[in-house]
Amino acid sequence: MMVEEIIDGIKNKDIRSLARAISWIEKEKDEGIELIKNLHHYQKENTHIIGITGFTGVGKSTLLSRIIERYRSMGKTVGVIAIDPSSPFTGGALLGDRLRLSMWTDPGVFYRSVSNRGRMGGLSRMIGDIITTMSVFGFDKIIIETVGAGQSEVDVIKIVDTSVVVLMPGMGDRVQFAKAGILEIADIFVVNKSDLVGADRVRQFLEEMLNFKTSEKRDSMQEEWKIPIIMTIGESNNLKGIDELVEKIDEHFDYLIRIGRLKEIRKRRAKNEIEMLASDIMLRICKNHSSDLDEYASKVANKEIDHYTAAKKIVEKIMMENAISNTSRYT
Amino acid sequence: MNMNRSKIKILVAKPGLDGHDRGARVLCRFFRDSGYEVIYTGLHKTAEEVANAALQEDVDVLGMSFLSGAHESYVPKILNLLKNNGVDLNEIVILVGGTIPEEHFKRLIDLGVDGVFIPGVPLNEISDFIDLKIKEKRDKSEAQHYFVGTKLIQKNPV
Repeated sequence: MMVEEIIDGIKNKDIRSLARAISWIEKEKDEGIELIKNLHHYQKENTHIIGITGFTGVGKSTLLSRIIERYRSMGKTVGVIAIDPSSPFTGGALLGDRLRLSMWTDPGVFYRSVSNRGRMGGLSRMIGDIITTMSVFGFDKIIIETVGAGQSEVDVIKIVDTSVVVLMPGMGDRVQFAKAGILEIADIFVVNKSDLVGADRVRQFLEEMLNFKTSEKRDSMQEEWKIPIIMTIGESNNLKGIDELVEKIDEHFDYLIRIGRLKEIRKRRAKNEIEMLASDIMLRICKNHSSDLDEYASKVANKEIDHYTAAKKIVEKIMMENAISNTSRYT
Repeated sequence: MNMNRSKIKILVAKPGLDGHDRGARVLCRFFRDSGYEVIYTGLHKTAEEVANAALQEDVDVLGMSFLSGAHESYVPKILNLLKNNGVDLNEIVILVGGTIPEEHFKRLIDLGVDGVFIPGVPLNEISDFIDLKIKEKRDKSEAQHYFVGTKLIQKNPV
């Protein structure tokens, strides 16, 4: 299929085209880059990008299914990107989150499983490109589900508008809460499986932490978002707190628009992406200078110069040669 | 690490009402450990649900497991749904596995199934067949291989 065909398909809400476009992005094909170049200006203005994250087993996928159901009952369309880890040894992955989905044939729901494929920095760029594509397709809500462990997944959560961090009772003590970096990026906390023993204690820990946090930066003049803690049960025969959660997610989006933060977030996302692409290009050029690289590597190994100086010298040399014109892949 | 396989996405599906998925789950695990990306549908999926998942996930391989005889109605229905949604069956590898009577092999192959596997086939023969078939479909090669029951056979359309 041709790139133009796919772009037309996406604009006309053809599922097959959207699915193929995402595959191009996922498989890092040149068509994927071509696609984004020709598609990005059709992005919808008010697509709400939501991240759901939390440790394995807290019930993210089940909760996600409930959130989708709620949005569908409100008439909103939903695109989902579910990220699962791939094995660092075989590269294989079991993308298991689709199992929990309840709405498999609803035309207003598009669900895509993605593996992190052992990527380091590239994951958030890939997800960013998928978001762009889904936004052109026209979903009201785009939801990204991820375990959120490790730097690359935290980077993914940084590109969303509203991040929901899911916890459950019995997951560890105060110290664990203090050291888990994921807690700092929450716009909304969820204590799922809140019928289990210890749910109130989790809530109490979170409240203490949030009080501590707000007392840190009370001098700001801007309207503050008060991070809510929502107690939920995602299991379908015992549902609790889902409507409240969805309400808060939407409230947070309204808040971002009201105070003008949304533009800022989108700009920050773009800045990250440009930085990563630029450093990719630099790395590629650097690797093309393999003879220089070898030469400096020997020098460093022989203790003639240090690696900081060597790296600086290579970059200086590349800039002198203006080798930028040799890179065709991203131009 | 097999980086080529990690770009191959397999959907393992359990269409119909049969509740036995030990075989399907063993396969999921095997595919994952062999370096593929695997998505499992879980039990009791309708034809529409399976076709929709294959469509949205844009899979390279669709494997369907049947232990109840439901392949007779489900396989044609799922393949038709895929075609109606614009999926080119020449682009994806279609596999059927489980307790399939010998006299149904030909009918399934004629419908567009690339491989039919019955119990007892060594797992690595399944993955070898997937790799071979992906390559054949990608290269649009003349020679076509099929897996029928327990054997790999070659069929040249010319």
